[in-house]
Amino acid sequence: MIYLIVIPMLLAVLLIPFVSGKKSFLISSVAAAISLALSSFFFFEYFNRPAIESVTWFTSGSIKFTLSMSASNLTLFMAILVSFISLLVLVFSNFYMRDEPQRRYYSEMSLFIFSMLGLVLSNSLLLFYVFWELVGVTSYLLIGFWYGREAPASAGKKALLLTRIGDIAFFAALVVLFVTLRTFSISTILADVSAIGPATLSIVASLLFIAVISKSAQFPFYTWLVDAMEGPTPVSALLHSATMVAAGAFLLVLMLPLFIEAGFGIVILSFGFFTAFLAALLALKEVHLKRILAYSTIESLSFMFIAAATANAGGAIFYLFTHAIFKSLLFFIAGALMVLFGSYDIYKLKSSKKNKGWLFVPAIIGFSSIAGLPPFMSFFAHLGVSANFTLADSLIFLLLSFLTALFSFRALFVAFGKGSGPRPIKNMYAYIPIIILSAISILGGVLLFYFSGVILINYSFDAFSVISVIASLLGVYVAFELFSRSRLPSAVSRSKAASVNLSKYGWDKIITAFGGSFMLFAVWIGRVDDAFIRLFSRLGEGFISLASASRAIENGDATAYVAAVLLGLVIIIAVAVVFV
Amino acid sequence: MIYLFSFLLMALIGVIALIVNTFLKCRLSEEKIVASVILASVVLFFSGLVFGFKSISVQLVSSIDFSFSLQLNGFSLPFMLIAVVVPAAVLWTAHKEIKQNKTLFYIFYLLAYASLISVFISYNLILLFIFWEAAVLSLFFIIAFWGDQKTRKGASIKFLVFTQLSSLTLLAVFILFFSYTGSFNLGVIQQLSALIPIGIQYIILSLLLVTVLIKMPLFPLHAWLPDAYTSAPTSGTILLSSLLSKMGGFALIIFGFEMIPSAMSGAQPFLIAIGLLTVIYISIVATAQRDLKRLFSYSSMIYMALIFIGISSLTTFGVDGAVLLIVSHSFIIALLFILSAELYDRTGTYDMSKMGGLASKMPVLSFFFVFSVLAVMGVPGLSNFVGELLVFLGAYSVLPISLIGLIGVIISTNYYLKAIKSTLFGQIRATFSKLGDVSRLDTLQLLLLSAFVVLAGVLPGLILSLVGATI
Repeated sequence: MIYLIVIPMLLAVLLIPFVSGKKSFLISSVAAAISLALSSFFFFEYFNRPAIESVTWFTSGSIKFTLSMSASNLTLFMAILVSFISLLVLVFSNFYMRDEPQRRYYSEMSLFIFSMLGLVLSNSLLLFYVFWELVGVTSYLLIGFWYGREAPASAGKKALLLTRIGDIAFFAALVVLFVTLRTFSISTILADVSAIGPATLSIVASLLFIAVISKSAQFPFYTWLVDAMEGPTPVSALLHSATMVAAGAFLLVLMLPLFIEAGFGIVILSFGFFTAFLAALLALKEVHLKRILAYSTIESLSFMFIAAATANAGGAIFYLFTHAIFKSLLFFIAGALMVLFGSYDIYKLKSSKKNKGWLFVPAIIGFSSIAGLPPFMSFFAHLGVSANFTLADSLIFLLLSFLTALFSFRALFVAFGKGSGPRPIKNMYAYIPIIILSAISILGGVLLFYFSGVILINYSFDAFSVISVIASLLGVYVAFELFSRSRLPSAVSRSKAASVNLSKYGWDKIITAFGGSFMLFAVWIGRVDDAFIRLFSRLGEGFISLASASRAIENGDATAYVAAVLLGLVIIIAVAVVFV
Repeated sequence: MIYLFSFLLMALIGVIALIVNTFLKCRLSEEKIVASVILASVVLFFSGLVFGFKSISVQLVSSIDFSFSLQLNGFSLPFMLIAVVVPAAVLWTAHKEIKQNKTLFYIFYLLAYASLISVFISYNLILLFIFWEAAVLSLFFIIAFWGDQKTRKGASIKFLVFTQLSSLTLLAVFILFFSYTGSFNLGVIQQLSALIPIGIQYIILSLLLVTVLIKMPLFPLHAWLPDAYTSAPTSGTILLSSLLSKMGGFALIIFGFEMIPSAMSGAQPFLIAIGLLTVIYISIVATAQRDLKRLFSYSSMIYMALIFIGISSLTTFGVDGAVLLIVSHSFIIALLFILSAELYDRTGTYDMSKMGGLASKMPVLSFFFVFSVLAVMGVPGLSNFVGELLVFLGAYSVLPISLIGLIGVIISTNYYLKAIKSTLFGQIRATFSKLGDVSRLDTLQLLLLSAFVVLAGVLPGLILSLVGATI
C-alpha cells in the first residue's frame, strides 16, 4: 500500500497536460496534499513496525528483478518532509510563476516530486536508482526551464552532465553489487556487507561515493548547483531543500554501514570539511543572493556528510530536516525580493533604499538558522551534527561556525540595508508558506528531544555547544561591523579581491578547459575516422575503375552473363566439393 | 493460428496491387496500398501473438536440403515485433519525402518489409540467405535512387560493397554448417553443431564476425555507415538503422551464441574488447559531429556495440539485455531520425550550430525530441535502461573490466545534451521565427513510437516473454 503515496503525483503528471491554466496548480497541489496526508497516515500506521512490500518487475533467466518499497520510520518521515515542502513550494509557485506562459511547469514539478517521493520510499537499490535518475532528469528540465536564455540552458545541461557522472557511477555500483550478492534489496545488501570481498567493497563504496557527492554537489562537482540558480526560484527552493541534493545525503545515510565497513568514514569526513570551508569562503565573496544560498546549501550538505561520517546518521537526517525548512524559507524570501525589486544582487537590493517590510523578520530567522543560532531549530540540529566529534573535528567546526555566521549575516545586513516606505506583499500564496516555515524554524527545535523515538540520534548539549554559539555570534558581530556599519571598507574590498582569486571560477575554468580540450581531442579523432572512411571510399573507387576497365566483359549479351554466372557457381561448388 | 507465410503473401499482394495500379492507371495512391498491407501485417502479427503462429515447411530441392520453411526459432518474435511495427510508423515519413517514382519506391519498400520479417522466421538457411540478400538489395536501391542527390552514388556503392562482403562471409558460414552437419535446417544444425570440430568453429566465428561487424556495424568495419545513413532518404535511414543493423545482432545470436558457443567463449575477451573499443571510440567520434543526422548515425553504433557485448557475454542476462536493446533501439532511433528530418524540413539544415531556440516555435516537436534523447540516454522508465542494465550485468559477471564501457555512456550524455541545447534552446534566429510545429498526423506517428518506448521501459517483461517462443 505504500506505493499509494507516490500515485497522486503521478496522476498529476499525467493529468496536467490536459487541463488549462489555474487548474494545473490546483491538481498538483491537491496531489501533494494527498501525498502528505497519506504519508502521515502511514507514518503512524507503520510506526516502529517496519514493513517491506515488493513486486517482481521482470524476470531474466530464473532471476527475478524485484522492486520494493519500505515503510519505516525513516522512509515515511522523509516522505512527510518531501510532500510537505513540496506542497508549500507549489503554493509559493502560484505566486511566483503566476504570469508564466509555459504550461509544462506544474507537470514537471509533479514529476519531480513523484520521483523524490519514490526515491525515499525505495527499498530496492534498483528502484532507488530509477527515481534517482528521474530526479536528475526532471531537475535538468526545471533548471533549464527558461530555455530561451543562454544561461539557464547551459546551467541545465551542466547540472545533468555533472550529476550523470555520479549516476553512471551508481549504475556501475548496482551492477557490481548485483553480480556479487544477487540482490538489489538495500536491507539484504547491508546485512551481507561483510560477505563482499574487500577489493569489491572498496570499488562499490567509491562508486557510490561519487554518486553521492555529485548529487549533493560536493567538491569537485559543486559548480552545477551554483549555476542551477538560473532556474525559477520555487524550483531552487525545492531542489535545495527536500529533493535532488537531499537525495545524495539520503543515499549516504542509507548506505552508511557499507561506507563504514569499507573504511570510508575518514574520506567522507575530509570531503565534508573541505567542501564546507570552500563553500563558506566562496559564499563570502558572492553578491548574488541565490548563489549565496546555493553555497550555503553546499555547506549544509557537508554538515550532513560530517554527521554521517562520525557515525551519527540520525544527526544527518535531523539536520536534513531542519535545513529543508529554513532553506526553502530563505528561497521564498529571495523569490519575494526578486518580485519586489527585480534583482538578486544584494548590493542592488541594499541601494534600492526601499523598505523590505515584514520580510525582514523571516529573513532574520532564516539567516540565523544558517548560522545555527539559538533559539532557532537549526541550533538544535547543530547539537546533533556535532555530537560525535573528536577534539580536532570540534576545533575545525568552530572555525566553520564563525565563517558561516559571517557570510550569512553579511548577506542579511547588506540585502536588508536601511530603507523607507512600505512595500508589503499582499499575495497570500507568498506569505502563507513563509509564515509556516518561519514558525517551524522558531519552534521546531524541541522536536530534537522527541526525534530519538523516531530515528536513532546522538546529540549533546555541552560546553562545546556554547562555545560554538559564541563563535557564531562572533561571526555575526564581525559581519555587523564590516557590512552593516561599513567599518574597514578597505579590508572588505581586499578580502573580496583575494576571494575572487580562489573563486569558483578557478575550478569552473578547469572543468570548462577540460571540456574544451576533450572537444578538440574528439574533433581530432573525428578527423581520423573521416580519413579512415575516405580510405574505404578510395578502395571502392578503385574497384569501380577496375570495373570500368573490365567493361569489355559487360557487353550486354545475356547469354554470356548466364554462362558466367553458371561458371562461377560451378567453380564455387567444385571448390566446396574438393576442399570439404 | 496465423500462418507465418501470410506476411509474405500480404507483401506479394501489395506488390501486385502496386503494379496493377500503375499499369491500369487507377487513382489509388501507392501509400494507401502499402499502408493497408502493413496494417494488415501488424494485425496479423498481434493476433499471432495471441493465437499462436503456424509454421510451414515445403521441401524444394532435397539434395542440397533447400526447403521453404518458416518457423519461429526462439528469438524470432522480438525481431519480428520491430520488423513488423517500425516500418508502419516510417511509412508516414516516406509519404512526406518520396515524390518521384513512387510505385518503384514502394515496391522496394514492401520487398524490404517482407524480406526483413522473413529473415527472422526462415528455418532454412538458403531461404534465410535469399531473404537476407533481398532485404539488403532493396535498401541499396532505396539509397541509390532516392538518396541525397550529391552523395547517393558513392554512399550506395560503398554500402553495397560492404554488405555484399558480409553476405559472402555469411554464405561461407552456412556452407560450413552444411558440410559439417549435412543440413541447412536451423533445428538440425543446432542439434549437431556441438559436433563441429573446434578449429572449424573458430573459422566459422571469424567469418561470422566479418558479417556481424559490417552489418551492425562495429569498429573497424563501420566505414560505410555514416555516408549510407546520411545520404539515404530518412525512411531508408530508419530501415537501415532500426532493422537492417539488427540482422547483425540476429546472426550473432543464432549462428554464434546458439550454434558455436564454445568458440564464442574461447574468443570472449576479444569479442567484448571489440565492443568496448567501439563504445568508447564512437562516443568520441560522435562528440565531434555537428550534423544532427550524422550524430545520430554514429551514436546509434554505441548501442549496437552494447548489443554485441551483451551477446558475447554468453549469459542469460547479457542476451536478454541485447534483445531488449535491439527492440528498444529500433523504436528510439526511428524517433530520432524522424525528428531530425522534421527539423531539417523546417530549417533546411542538419547543422546544429545553425539551429537554436526552436523549442519556442515547436513545443510538441521539442517534447518528443527531448523525450527521445532521454530515452536513448538510458533514463529509467524508458526502454533502453533495462537493456543496458542487463548487458552490463552479463558483461561484468564474465569480464569485470567491461564496466569501462560506461565511460562511453558518460561521453554520450554530453553530446546528446548539446544536441538538445543547440537545436531547441537559446535565442531563436529571426529566419526561423515563422516556423510551425508538427502536424497532427506527425504527432500520431511520434506518439505511436513513443508509446512502445514507454511500454518496453515500464514493462520490459513483455519483450522478454517473447524470447524463447517456438512452435
